[in-house]
Amino acid sequence: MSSTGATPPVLAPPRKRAGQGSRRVRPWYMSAVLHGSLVVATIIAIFPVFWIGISSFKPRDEIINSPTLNVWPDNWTWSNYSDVISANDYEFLHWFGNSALIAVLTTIVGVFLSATAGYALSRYRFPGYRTALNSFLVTQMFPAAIIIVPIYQIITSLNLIDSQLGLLLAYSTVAVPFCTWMLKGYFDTIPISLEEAGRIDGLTPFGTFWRIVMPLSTPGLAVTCFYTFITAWNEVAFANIILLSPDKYTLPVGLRTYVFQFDQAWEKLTAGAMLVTIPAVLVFLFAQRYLVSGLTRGGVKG
Amino acid sequence: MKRTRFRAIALALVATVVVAAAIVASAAARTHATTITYWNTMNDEETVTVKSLISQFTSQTGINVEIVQVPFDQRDAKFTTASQAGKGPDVMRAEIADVANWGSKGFLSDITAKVTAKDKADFLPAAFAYYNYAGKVWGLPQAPDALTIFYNKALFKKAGIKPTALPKTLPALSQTCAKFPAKQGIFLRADSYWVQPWVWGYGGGLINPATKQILIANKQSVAGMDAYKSLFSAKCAFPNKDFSNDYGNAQTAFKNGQVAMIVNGPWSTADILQGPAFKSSSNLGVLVIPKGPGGKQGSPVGGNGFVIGKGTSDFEASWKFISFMTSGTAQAAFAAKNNLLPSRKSSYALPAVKSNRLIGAFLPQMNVATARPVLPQGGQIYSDFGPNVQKILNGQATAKSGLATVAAAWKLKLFPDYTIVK
Amino acid sequence: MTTTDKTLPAPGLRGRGGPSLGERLRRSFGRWWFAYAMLLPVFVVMGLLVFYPLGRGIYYSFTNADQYNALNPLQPSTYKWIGIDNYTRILKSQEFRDVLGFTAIWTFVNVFFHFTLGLALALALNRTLKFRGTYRMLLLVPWAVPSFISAFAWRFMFNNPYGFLDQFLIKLGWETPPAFLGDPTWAKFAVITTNVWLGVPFMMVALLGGLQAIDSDLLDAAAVDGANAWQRFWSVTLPGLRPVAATVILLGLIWTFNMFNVIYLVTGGGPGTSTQILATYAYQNAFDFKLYGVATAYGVIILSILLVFSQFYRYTVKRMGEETWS
Repeated sequence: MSSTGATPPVLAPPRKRAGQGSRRVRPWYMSAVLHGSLVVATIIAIFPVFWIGISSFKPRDEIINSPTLNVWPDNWTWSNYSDVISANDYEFLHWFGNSALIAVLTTIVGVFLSATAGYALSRYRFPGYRTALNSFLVTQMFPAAIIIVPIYQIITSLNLIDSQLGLLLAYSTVAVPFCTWMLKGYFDTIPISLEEAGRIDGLTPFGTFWRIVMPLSTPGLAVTCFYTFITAWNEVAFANIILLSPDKYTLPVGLRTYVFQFDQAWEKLTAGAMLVTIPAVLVFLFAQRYLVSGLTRGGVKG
Repeated sequence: MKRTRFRAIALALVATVVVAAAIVASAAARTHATTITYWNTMNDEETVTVKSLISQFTSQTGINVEIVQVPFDQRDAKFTTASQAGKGPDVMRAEIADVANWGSKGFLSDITAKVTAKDKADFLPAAFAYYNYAGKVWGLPQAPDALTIFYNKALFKKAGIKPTALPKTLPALSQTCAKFPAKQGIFLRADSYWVQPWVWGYGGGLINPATKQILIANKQSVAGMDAYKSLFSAKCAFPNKDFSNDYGNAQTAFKNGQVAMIVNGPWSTADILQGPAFKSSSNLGVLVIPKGPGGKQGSPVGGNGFVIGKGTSDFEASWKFISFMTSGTAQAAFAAKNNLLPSRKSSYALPAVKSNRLIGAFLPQMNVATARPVLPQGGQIYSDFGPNVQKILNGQATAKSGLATVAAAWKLKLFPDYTIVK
Repeated sequence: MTTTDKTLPAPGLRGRGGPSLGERLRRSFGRWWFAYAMLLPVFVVMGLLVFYPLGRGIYYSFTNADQYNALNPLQPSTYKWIGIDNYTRILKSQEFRDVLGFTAIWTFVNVFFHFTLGLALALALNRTLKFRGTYRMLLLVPWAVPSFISAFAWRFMFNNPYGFLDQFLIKLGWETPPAFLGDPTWAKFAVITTNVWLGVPFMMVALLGGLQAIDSDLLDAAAVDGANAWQRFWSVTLPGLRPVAATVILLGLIWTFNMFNVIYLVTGGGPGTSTQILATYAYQNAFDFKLYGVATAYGVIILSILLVFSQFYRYTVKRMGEETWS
């Protein structure tokens, strides 16, 4: 089962990204099909968001009074945005700061914890390995709506109610098991030979993890980072219950208050949704350059 | 190269964290006079009125009120969990069904001693009933409401219905509807709360705590449900096929003059008056929900009010606040700006209220409205009532079998020691 | 892709012989200390916030705990052990079985589309392509919008008769377009469409990451050997994607099984109960009534179903030659 380390170090040639350095020129009709299907997919992906966006520029009675198909606003207005941002002494900016803080912290803590755990589960077959792996899976299986009550009680008994630390804790429990499994999957694709080479070079176990495996896993880490960030950025169920003071509200919690007993302030929800989506898209733009394989940066030559 | 990039990212992250923390910290630094927290569940238009009332209150008494906006459908979860953790608000806006529920669990402060006999007499009995539970008073009603029929006067005139010939019985209502072209008579919702006037009108009921009976499956209730269903599927009724969106659809159809009648409550008048068909507000008519064939009449009384949390930091300040928010001044403001019905009899004589035609039109409906039984489980009956009513109106179940399912579910989950009346 | 074993030697000492339990424990710790150290922080947090509540939840499922006799520090706890009563009551109900049936359909249909569409998009985006970055960013947007707002948006788009889809279909000539949210069958279609729309971006990004790990030398070698695009996909790409794909599919299945938001906000489980899945049904039937015993019994039933299913899934994937869970 375990390698005895007797394999001679392998000289790994630099690896090319799949799809690059390609040989044949793509025929024009293939290009058309490719672009065509991507355009269709993009339209389907974007349309509801476009619809939310275009509604955010309509005054309320135009959104909710209209009995017919009415895409472009008759009375274009920016007031929804200004109303949402300036409400209650610019409370929106507090929500924004809170969300940013929580999302960034959750990402750092979550990714770090799940990277170490995922690595251990990927490389070592220690006693209790199966139990550990299954237990992570099990944490995903209990429906959130039901587990929220016990988690709330624990957070209360730790006196972390209405605190961002409590929310961070709750998010970590949601994000870490999932990210551990994901990262384990990504780590599994990295050949052991590189680490063995590193070990022979005298690196500690943590050293091989930090200096060899992590840099090579940038695509997996990018996906995990983005997933954790988005989950924390958009999460509303736990935040609604844990955060009680309005100055601690995160953006989704703040926006949720626009859903009333019988109807919604749809014009404010759409404006708020746009304001919330744009930073998330920017984060993705930043993260997506790391979706490039780290393996192209030169394998470890032993 | 890689190193510097990692460093740059780390730096950016740290910077974000620092900036965000600064924003948060600055928000946390607030001065503390006497401040009470108030959890508000109103929509944005009513909240504007609340805020101006709060500034009036603060300048009068010097007590600061921190208003926390809570989404209406989350209020129970949030208030319950916060109260259990000892972090509930000082004042909470409660829906009528919440009061008995929260009072029975010990989340509310008892205000019996504070409510004078004069006050008790002044509040509308139907509204105030919900705030009495287990012999104690737990809160004050802010704005009661009841379902009524709104109609478009111009469309009625066009159909040849004279203002003196408005329907006074439910069968007459169906006949009135038939006078309109197809799909333009009435828009009926597929919601169990909206079905109640028909159930009561035909002599049925929900539950009777005094006799410990579940009445929803008895013959009269089934008859009422059948009557509702036949009007719902009548040719003159707007085809309501989308049950998730039907509240908004009813409003849209009515506001645009596509349908002559809808069933709704006073909270919706602000929205209705923004519609093209009601630019002139005198076009909006209010019709009391008619009697059933047996002479019975009913419309569910609902509404919201204010309660004081058990763990309040300042009981006196909280009491002053809820007194103020249910005083004549406040009720006049809500009436004038949001068309909400006052809960005090004396408020109806105030000029701001008296001059409001719509509120005057609502009074007859309130006078024949039916209070629901005041029980801790009062609000939870709709979890099973709702889906089964949808099945009945969708044709997936008959009125008889659907209501029997509801009765069985209520007995199982809420009232194990009641008997089901057939 | 690689035929060598994927595990590393234990850092530290190696033991031998027939030792006592204490010795074996110590030695095992000595061998695997690094693994344990890396897992410890996670397990402390998990233990406190998940396993302990889970355990308590399982305990409650055998009691008649509800809002009046339990979990309220302001009132005495008087709930009682009732054995498997909650479970028998749930499992005997016909409605439960109907809901379970739809939950299964919901889960498999969703994940099928999540995976196939996500893979197709990932493959398309993995090539050198003009505007690739733009496509990637735009295709990601459904994931970036807070899901409760997207759910509302879809609910309005499916609105009959005023929603965009019905109005558009009327313009195309379909006089009485379907009531997407009012018809029991169309409602199922509507919620599945919404959830597929929400879930594809994540799959696409995860699989794109996985595609990066595939050695393009192997693809080139296969091309040289005369394999066409389909054969290359089937024999090089797909196997290379297996660790990542197997993981995200399993997690996607579990996640979709318990997806609460979409059903709750788009149809509320309606019309009637035709779009209820177990998670929302449990919420409406038990949690809404604060019948904690019944709610946790539902939770345990869901957990058991998913556990059994994941074991079955592991065997199937293992038989397909994957070492992830060996």
